[in-house]
Amino acid sequence: MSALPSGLPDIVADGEDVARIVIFSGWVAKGTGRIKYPAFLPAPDHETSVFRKTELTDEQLWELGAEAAERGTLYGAAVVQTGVVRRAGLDALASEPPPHHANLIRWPVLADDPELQKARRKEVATEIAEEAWYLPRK
Amino acid sequence: MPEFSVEPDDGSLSLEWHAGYRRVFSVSVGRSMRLPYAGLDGADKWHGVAQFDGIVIPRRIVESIRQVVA
Repeated sequence: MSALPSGLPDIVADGEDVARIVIFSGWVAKGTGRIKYPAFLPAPDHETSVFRKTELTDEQLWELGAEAAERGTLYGAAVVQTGVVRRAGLDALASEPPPHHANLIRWPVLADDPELQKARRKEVATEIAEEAWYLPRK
Repeated sequence: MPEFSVEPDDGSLSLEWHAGYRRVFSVSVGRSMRLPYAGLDGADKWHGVAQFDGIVIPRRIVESIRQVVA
């Protein structure tokens, strides 16, 4: 195992928390703070961008997240343990820069049936979201 | 009543029924008349695609909503 520029190990451990930056208010249920599954759906490149939260303070996470959010609003983060991600059939792969960045990979791909691909991804994202919690930006 | 949100990958509208921990069902409405859906009910999980004719809500979707909110 080698170290990344941030000093973190290159393998994301099952016990590490990863944080998905919440840039849409609709990703969080009003009133309950429950994370909804769209927060974890991948981008068109088939990856979901997250930050390895375990060794970051909240303020450090917001600094990194602000760049990820670009000009959008940063509402907070959806946090989940990496082991949950792996049990759902995905993997977490360190991807620096930026520091502490990782991607959730191995989303189902069905190029000839985009609707079925979407359905499979919804099921995976829902399983992850059910175990995630909301860290609001204060 | 479902909760609404926009899915970031393709801009589809998500309608989600959440009745408690791991009791959740959602269907995505986008440009296609084929509607992707997925649900969790305890240890059970399922997903699929339902054809929508523009008038009648597909039976599998109605049954799934009933299953998680019952």
